[in-house]
Amino acid sequence: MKTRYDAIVIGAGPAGLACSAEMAARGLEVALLDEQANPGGQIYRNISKASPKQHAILGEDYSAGMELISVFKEAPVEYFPQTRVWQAEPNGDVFFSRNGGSTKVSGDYLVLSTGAMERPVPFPGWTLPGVMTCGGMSNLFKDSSLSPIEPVVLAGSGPLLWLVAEHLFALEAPVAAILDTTPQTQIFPAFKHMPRALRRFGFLLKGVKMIAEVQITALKRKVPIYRGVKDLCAEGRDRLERVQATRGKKELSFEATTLLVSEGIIPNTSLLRQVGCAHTWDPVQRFWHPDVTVDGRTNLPAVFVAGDGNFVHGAKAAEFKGRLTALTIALEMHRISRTEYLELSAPVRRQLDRELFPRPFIDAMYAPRKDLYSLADETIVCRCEGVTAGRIRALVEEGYADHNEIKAMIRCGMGPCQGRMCSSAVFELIAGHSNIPPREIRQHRLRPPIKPVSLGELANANIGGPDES
Amino acid sequence: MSKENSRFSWENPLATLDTVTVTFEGEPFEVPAGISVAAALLGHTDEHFCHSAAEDDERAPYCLMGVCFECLVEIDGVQNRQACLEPVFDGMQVKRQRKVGDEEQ
Ligand code: FES
Repeated sequence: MKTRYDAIVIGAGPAGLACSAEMAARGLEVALLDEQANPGGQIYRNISKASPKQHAILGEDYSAGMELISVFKEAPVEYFPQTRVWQAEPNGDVFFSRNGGSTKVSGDYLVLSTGAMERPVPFPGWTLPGVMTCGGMSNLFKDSSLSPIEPVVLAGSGPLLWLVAEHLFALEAPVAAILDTTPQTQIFPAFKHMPRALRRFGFLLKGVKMIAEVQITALKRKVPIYRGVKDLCAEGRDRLERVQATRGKKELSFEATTLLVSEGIIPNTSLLRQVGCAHTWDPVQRFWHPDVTVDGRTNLPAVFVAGDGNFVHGAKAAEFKGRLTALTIALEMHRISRTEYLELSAPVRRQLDRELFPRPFIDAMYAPRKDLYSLADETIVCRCEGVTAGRIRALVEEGYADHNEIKAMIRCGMGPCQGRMCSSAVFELIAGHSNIPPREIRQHRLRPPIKPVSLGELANANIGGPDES
Repeated sequence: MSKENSRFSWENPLATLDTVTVTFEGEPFEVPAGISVAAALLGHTDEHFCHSAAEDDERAPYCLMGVCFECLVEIDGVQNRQACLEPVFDGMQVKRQRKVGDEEQ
């Protein structure tokens, strides 16, 4: 590995792959750093190694990533898998841990394509072993062909819930119930976005068809599907034994050893916040996202953001955003002319626009429900430190309205995950119990190292030594 | 090489795959090559991976994508490894993390 590149891309999902391949094609020296052992990000996880059966079950939206991977593999990008970036700087310095040692590498430009994560929503019992995210189950299957053989309940709202249900049915997994927490009134506000969404009729139809097929299979296999479910609760002594919830006046209870939850997808902004990208609060999706222009620029001149990490639009959009970002950097580095830039970027922009037609409809349909963060006092919010909603709320009511301060007082967000799992909920508790408008509430800060690095590794870090490529 | 009670099973019989041997808490077992440590343990046993930092609750993987840190284990003597991000290799010694967040010596 060299110590300096024209551009360093962090994250090998669709945005990072497309971006690094496009920059390399324009003559830039590019390094791509990624946590996983294989390229693909979460969506195309393990795609190059997946078996025909895995492809068959995951379907065409998964296999669609093959083309992206083959273009990437042909491109002269220096790819570093299993690399944990623990600090990035606005000047293009990146510190990372790999093979048990830490090193620094610098780029004229940084592209952060760190993707998205599931929105962490606390509920009673969510820390019990056996409770996992739908995306996590999907990852287990993509990675390792693991499939549940004991009763599993799916609960939440959004397309991922149905997609994972579809896969589990295909795997003949013993699904005990599907609990849809989408409020049944939510479909009406979504309808005003329908005309625009209909410009991608085929796409919408595919989603509707998938949900319908899951319902038919559920009916055939006598798997109950409940809509408008509330009060989800996981119970068990040391691990999950039972899932409980309510539907209207009806109390639901299912024996299960696995509960898969999904309450939507949010940008994974930990590295973006650490490096200092400015963020904006989105009041509909209720998440923070970096301020990014369509060509990937942030408030930091050398730092670009591409993909779902800027706003959650899905894999195809991420790929287009990655390419647009690449072309912008190639233009800034004078590897392409203004005319070439316009010629090359115009079709990508058109594809991106087209991809975004249905988003306002889907986003409104599955917008986080109002009571998503109406958390009971005893519910654990910070999983690492065991801090409950009641303790956080009490501080907010006393006038504390900054997660960073709250952390200093009750350790909420101070554990190994560094607030990745609790900061959404803490933010919502502050927004719901203070008079401060959400966009004025300070975001939780992450301090480097944002990934575990041992003291020994830090002491021996090769951060400024000679070229050792 | 026993398989304890796990909530999961491999889609394909192990006999048809390339496998490696991983040891968890002193007990060796076979898993498909190339998978993550988290998948290897989940496919083998229902046991927890670690304890929460503050309350000492038993914990197991939640996100399987590197964000929750509920899968921390000790691999060949090195603590704080995220099992969902580490691939298995033959002869790997995995232990439950004694206390999450403990610094290595
Ligand atoms: S399971 Fe969440 S970090 Fe590994």
